[in-house]
Amino acid sequence: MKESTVLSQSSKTGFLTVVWILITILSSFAQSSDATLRLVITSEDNGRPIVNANIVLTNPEGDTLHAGASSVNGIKEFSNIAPKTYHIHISYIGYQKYRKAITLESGDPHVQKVSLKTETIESEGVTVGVKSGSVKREAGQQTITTEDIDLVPAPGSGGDLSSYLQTLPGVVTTGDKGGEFYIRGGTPSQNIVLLDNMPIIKPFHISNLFSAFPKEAINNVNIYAGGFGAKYTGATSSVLDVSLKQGNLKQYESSASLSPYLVSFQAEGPVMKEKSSFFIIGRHSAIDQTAPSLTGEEVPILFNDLIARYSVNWPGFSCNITGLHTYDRGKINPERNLQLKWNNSAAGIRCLGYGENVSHTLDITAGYSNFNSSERGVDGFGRESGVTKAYFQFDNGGTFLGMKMDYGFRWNLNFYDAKLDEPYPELRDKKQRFPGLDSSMDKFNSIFSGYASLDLKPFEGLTITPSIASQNRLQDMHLTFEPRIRIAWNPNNNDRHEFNFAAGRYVQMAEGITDERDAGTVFYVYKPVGSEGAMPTALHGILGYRRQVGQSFEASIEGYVKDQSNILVSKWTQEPGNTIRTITADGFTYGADIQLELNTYPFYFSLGYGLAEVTYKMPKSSLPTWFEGSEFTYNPSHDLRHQLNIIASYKVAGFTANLNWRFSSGSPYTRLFAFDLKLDNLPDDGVLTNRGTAKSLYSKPFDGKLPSFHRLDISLSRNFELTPNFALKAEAGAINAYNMRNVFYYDVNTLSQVDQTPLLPYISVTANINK
Amino acid sequence: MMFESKYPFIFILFTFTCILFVGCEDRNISPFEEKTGTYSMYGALKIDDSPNYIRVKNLNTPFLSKKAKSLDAKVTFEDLQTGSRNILEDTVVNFSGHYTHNFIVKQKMDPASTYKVTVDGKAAEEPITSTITTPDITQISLSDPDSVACTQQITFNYKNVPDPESIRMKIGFKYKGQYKWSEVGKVDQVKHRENTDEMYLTLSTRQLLVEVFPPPEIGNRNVNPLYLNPTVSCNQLDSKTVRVKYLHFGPDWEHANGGYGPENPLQSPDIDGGLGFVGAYREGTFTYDFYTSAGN
Repeated sequence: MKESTVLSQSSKTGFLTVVWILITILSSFAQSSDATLRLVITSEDNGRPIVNANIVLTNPEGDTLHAGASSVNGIKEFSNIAPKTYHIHISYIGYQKYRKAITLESGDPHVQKVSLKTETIESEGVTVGVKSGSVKREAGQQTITTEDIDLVPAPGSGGDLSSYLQTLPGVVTTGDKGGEFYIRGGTPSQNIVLLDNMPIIKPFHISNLFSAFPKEAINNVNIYAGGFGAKYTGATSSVLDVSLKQGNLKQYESSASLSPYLVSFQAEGPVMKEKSSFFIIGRHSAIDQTAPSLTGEEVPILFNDLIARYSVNWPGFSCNITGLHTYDRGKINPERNLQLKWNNSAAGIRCLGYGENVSHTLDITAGYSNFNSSERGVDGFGRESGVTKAYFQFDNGGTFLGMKMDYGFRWNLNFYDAKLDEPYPELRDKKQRFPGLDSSMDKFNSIFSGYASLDLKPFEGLTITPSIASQNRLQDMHLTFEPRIRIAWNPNNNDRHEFNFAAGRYVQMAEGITDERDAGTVFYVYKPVGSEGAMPTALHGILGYRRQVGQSFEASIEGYVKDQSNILVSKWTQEPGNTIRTITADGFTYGADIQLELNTYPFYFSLGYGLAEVTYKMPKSSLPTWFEGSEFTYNPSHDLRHQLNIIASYKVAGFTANLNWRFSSGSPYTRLFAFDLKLDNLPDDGVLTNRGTAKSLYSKPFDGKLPSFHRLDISLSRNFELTPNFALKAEAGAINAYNMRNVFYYDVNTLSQVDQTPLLPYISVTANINK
Repeated sequence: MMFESKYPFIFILFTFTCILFVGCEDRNISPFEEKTGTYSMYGALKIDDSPNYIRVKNLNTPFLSKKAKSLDAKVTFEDLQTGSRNILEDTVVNFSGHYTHNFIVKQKMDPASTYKVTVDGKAAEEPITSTITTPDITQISLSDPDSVACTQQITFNYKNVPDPESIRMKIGFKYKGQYKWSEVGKVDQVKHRENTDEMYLTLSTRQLLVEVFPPPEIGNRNVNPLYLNPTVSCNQLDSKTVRVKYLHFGPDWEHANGGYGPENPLQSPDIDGGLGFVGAYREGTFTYDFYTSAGN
């Protein structure tokens, strides 16, 4: 007893010593400066914030002292800097450069509003920088702009985030329908999508060409394929952080477009000039009507989406109120009687305080998000599942021991409901589809999460961002511990080349169950992880290097590992069936992404290559005796070993030609090995008089490979300015231009090969007013 | 400037080289794994009867495939008592495009004997086999061999049926000019008598009528079927003779409903190396008489 007390005291002393050493080290990084400059950068043209504008603070002699880029709110804060005279240099493509000298004093932050004036750059021979702003790729993070999205042909009025995401190495879709995105080995239920902090469970439409995020609505997107900081919790694989744009504060704009795939409209403008604005965009698919004449095939899918936003700006304070609704319905395999349906409804408010009366930028969001999905027809019965989330998030900054610190908390109230196998009398003898779950589910949990993140700059060019997050499930006070770190090193203290590193631990308190054996359904049952169950957890590690050559070429390479545990997967069965019994597997993903980008006006070219291996491992006891050894390992269907993406764009004579070619290795799938006509009722079923019941049997799981996938999408567009306020944009293009027969999957229910979209030609026309 | 103007050309060359490189791949998939080949066989061999049939299927042959018209396999039937072995002859039955191969067992089978069926063909690495044990001669006795009252309980005893052998019993009553048959099981079942080689069933004729002419409440779990009334009473029957048909299944039949291994499909409990089930059974009939009184 005495010994343990001594040990305990010794441990305590040791812990305090470590804390003291850490504080001493951290303090050595701290700067004793206490001036703060907060730049709020907007477009003079429309009053909207400018994202990723390049900002450099120099001394009067021109030496760079501080640099950065504006956030999604157009704000860049330089805190803890020395109180003295600085020269502000702000640049952004399409806008005139901004120069101003400013003298900072200690004390309250100085807020400087900057309105950038537009500049026409479309002249021959102009070289455009690779990136319009800050670092585009860094340790799992990639910033996606509307200009990027515009480069990928899409058969609608404009681009769509979904089309662009599929061009990124590491982002995998197993087909062209279903709205399922796998990111560096992570499954859709391990990724989170945030729309201005509002969680959207499944914003991707049933056609993988489209999501709820049309280009016209997007301000900025950050995709974190892994290694994300502590601000994001609740996902073990990736984060897609989408920021919507505000409506035009100065003038009304509207557009309407028509294409064989969808029709859309958009309107925006000031409510009170330069103070508040509205933005609304809606789209409705038409492909179910037009596909038979365009492709000769039925495409029985229907989707629509609507986004509306009201934005209001006061001095030093702004708020955005956003609403979103999506609806999807249809069949993945037109030949099969399996109807899928899902919809998202979300509404939220996000307010930003950046005036001189707040010491650090204040970000407060609150809202609600609801997702419902159903499948009908798998076995003649329907099932439903839903998630409703209410949330409140507070993000702020401050200083800790003289170091810049971001911190915040989030409170999520989550309701999970499902109607799965209701015990109706007529279903008494029916096999359950989800035997591990109750026939209906109505669960609730409340999760409070907090984070803190430091920004350390021990010497010029090196930025270390350690952070820690913790989620607390309030019912049982279960706490998670999620330390993370991101490091960026610019050896020459400029943006020309950079080494970066990220690592961290990630925990999820909810999980999604689906039948991944059957690509014909994307129905998920979402549920909280039981207090008795081990939570899905992941460790990420990323090491990357980025090099910029001249003004027009950038190359980056990134290696990564993602070690996941407690992934719920469907248990293997010998007969294809509808019953989903789950089992826990561990997943290990490793790979490398290479991206090359050349941007020389009027020509743009990018090449992305992704190499990845996804391996799942589970105990042999969960599987039949097909296998030797104590563990069974396999590569799941989203293990596409090689991916190659090419994007090119060329502007000539007022036309813009875009091209996207994609290649990926074949997806693993489970083959069949036996076709039996089973006589279940001997001797009554005589062999001469009864055919027997047709039964197919699976071979070893995922031991087959589909043929590789490749597709060329092209488009040619041109704007026609008919009057100063009215323009028409016409676009002609083709998805799968050389009509490659790409295999989606093999449907064991219909014993038929399901192919992806054949050649889909399109012409779209968009009428723009005041745009 | 010259260098930059070459970019589009270089790009187009590169892209189309990529397309040509990967464009020639076959787009049809082979969803069937043919290395793990084997056969299934199904048959219910009735002893004292000839011919019997055993259906054999190459499991690698997809449904409705024309390949199924022929079967590259030799099927032999061996009497393990005498060692005699016969190669069975095939006969093809077409069920709307599903070609089935049914091998003819011409020889009569003896009671309480063991036989072995072997399928040897290219589809399986090793021949697949099934060993069949025939049931012994069934000895039947009734608790009251004389005519019994309609409501009187009667016990049907079947001897030489050691566990796991079993008896399936069908009952037939003549009504409106023809015999109506039903398998016994709704009211009660034929059970093993503990520590004996006997099976038995005790029911009255009236209760057996419930098996053939069940009232609507028969499926109601809250109602005891022993107390239900049949929709046709003893008095309404054309004949006071009850026909009983029984099937005596050999010991292999305890696996008859599986067909496939519970986990590994290639480990069928009955077929070694393949799937399905082959078993032997005996079929017999007997009758008994009953009499009625008012109200039966």
